[in-house]
Amino acid sequence: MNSDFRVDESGRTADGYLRLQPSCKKSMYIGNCVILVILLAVFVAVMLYSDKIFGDASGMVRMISVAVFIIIAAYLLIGPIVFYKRYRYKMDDDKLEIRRGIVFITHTLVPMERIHQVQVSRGPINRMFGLADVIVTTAGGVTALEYLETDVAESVASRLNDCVVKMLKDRE
Amino acid sequence: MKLIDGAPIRNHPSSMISTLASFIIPVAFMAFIMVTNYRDAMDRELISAVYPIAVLIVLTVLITFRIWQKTTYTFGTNELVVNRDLVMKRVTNIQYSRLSSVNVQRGIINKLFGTTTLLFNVNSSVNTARAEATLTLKEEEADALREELSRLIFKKEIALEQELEVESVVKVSNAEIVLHGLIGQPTVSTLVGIGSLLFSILSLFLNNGGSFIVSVMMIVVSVLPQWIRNIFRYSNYRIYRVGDTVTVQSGLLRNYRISFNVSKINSIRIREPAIARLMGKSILEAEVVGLSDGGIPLLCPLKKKDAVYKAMMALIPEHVFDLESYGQPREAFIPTMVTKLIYSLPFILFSMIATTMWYNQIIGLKEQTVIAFIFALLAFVGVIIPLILVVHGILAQRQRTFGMHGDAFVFVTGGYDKVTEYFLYDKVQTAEVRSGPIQRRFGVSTCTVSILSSTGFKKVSSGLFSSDDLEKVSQETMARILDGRYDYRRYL
Repeated sequence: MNSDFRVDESGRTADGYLRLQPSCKKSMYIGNCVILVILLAVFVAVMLYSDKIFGDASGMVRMISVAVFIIIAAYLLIGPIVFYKRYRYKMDDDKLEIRRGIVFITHTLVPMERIHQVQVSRGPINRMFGLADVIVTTAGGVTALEYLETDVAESVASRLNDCVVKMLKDRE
Repeated sequence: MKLIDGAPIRNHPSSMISTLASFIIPVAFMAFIMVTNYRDAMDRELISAVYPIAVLIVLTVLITFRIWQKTTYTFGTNELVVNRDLVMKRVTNIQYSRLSSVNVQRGIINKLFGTTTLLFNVNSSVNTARAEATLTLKEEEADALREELSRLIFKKEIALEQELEVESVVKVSNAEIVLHGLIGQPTVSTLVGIGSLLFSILSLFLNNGGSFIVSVMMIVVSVLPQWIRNIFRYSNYRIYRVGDTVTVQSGLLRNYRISFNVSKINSIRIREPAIARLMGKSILEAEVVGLSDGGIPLLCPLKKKDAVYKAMMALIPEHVFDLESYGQPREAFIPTMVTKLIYSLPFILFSMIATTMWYNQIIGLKEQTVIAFIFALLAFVGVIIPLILVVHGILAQRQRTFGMHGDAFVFVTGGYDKVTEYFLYDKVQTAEVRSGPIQRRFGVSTCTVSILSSTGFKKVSSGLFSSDDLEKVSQETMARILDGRYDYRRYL
C-alpha cells in the first residue's frame, strides 16, 4: 500500500487525514450497478434500432456507442476503487479539508468560520451499509463529506456544529 | 408622518393595481384570443367561456385586497416587523443591521400614482431573486423613510435633496448606453446577432423570405432582449459615493436606485468583450450580495480603459490593488489545448455523422442555395467551431493571469473576451484546487473560489497555474482568519 494511505492506531494517515471505510466501495458499486443497467438498456436499444434511425451513419453511431459504453462501464467499475483510494478528509477547530477525485483530483478547504449549516443525509443504498453523508452549507454553496459510517458522520456533524455554535457565541 | 417607531402601516393601495396588472393583462389577452377565435360561435358558448375567467378575476381582486389589508409593516427602533395574516399568521422580523440595501423602484404605475416601491434586502444568498420585503409608499414618505433607514444602516450623513445634487463620478450619455447594450454583451451573443443580421441581409438579397424570417427571429431571440433591457435599465445613468455608500441610479421607464455599502462588495470585475477590447474599452461591475432584482451593480458602463480606472479610483479606492501577477506558465499550454480538443470532439463527430446520414437527401434537394447553406452549416459545426475553440485556447494561454498581494488576489480569464476579477481573501467562502490527469503530468491545476454574489453565490475559476501557488489562496484565507486580520465586524 502507498505510504500516503497507511494509517496509524488513531486511523490517520501520516499527514493527519482520515480515510473512508472499505464498505463505502460496496455502496458505490450498488449505485453504479443501477446506472450501468440503465446505460445497458440504452446501449442495446441503440444497437437494435440504429439502422432504422441513423440509416447510412448507423455503422459510425454503433462504433461511437460501443466506445462510449466501454469508457463509462470502465469508469463505473474502476471508479469506486480509485475513489476509495484517494478520498481523504481532515477536520480541526479551524477548517475542514477534503481531498478526492477519480479522474480530476480536488482539494477543497472550508473554513469553519464560513459554515452556516450542517446536515447528515442517508440515502437508501447508504442505509444498507450503515453509511451517511455530512452536508456542509456555506454562503458559497454546499460541500459533502461522503460515505462516512453513520456514527462517524453523526460525530463529525456534531463536532462541526459545536465549532459553529462556539464561534457564534464568541461573537456575542 | 412618523414611520420609524410609529404605528403599523400598509402598502399604498396602488400596489394592488401593480399586482393585479401582472395577472389581468395575460388573462385579458387570453380572453381576447378566445373571443376572436370564437367570434362565429353561439353566444351561449361564448358566455360559458367568459364565466370562469370573470370568476377568476373577481377572486384575484378579492385575494389581492385581502393580502393588502392583512399585511402591515412596523418600523421599530432596531427592526422592521412584517405581519402577514391571511390564512396563516406570518411575522417576519428584519433587523436593520442585517439589511444590506434598501433599493428604490419606480415603474409606470408608481409614476401614475406618485408612489415609490422600496425593496428591503438582507445580506443573504437566499434573498437574491426576491427582496425580503417590499413596501409601496407615497414618494415623499418613501424618500423620508429610506433616508432615515440609510442613516441607520449606512451611517449616511447627508439628506436626499443634497444627495441628488452630488455629481456623478462617471459621465455617461444615453448614446454610450446604447453602445454598451450592443457590444457590452459577451462576444458570442454579439457574434450571433451580427451573423443573423448579415444572413438576413443576404436572404433578402437572394429573395429567400423563409431564411430572412428565421434570421430575424434569431436576432429577436438572441440579442434584442438583452440589448433593449440594458438600454431601458441603464439610460439616464448616474453613480456617486457618499461616505461608504455607493448609489447607482438609472432607468428609462422604470427608475432604479441601488445603494450599497462598499464593505458589502465581494469582488470587482473588469469585463472586456472582444469588440470592446479592440476599441480600447471596458466595463466595471461589482458583485454585491442582497440586492434582489437590482442585478449586478454596474459601476461604469462601456468606457475607455482610462476612464474606467479613474472611476474605480474615485468610487472604490479600497478595491484598487497593485498586485504582482504572472501569466499562465508554458507547461499549461498542452493541457489547455487538449481540453479544447476534447470539447471540439462532439462537434466534429456530430458533423461527420450528420453528413454521412443525410448526404443523399441533401444532394437530392432542388434549391442549390439550400444545399449550400446546409453544407456550410455542417462545415461550421465540424470545422469552424473546433477552430474557434482551438484559437480560444491559444488566446487564453496568453491572457490568463494570477496574482496575489496583501488583502486580495486576482484571476484574469477568458480567450476572446477578457475578464479581470479582484477578490478579497476575506470574502472567499470555499476554495478548491483541481487537476485532471493531463494537468497533473504538467504540475498545473485550476483554483475555484466560491463567493456570495448578486445572483446568490457563484464560483469563479482561475486559469492553469502551479498547484502550489494556487493552494496559497486557501492558505492565506485561513491565515487571515487565524491571525485576526479577518474581522467579520468590518463586513456587517
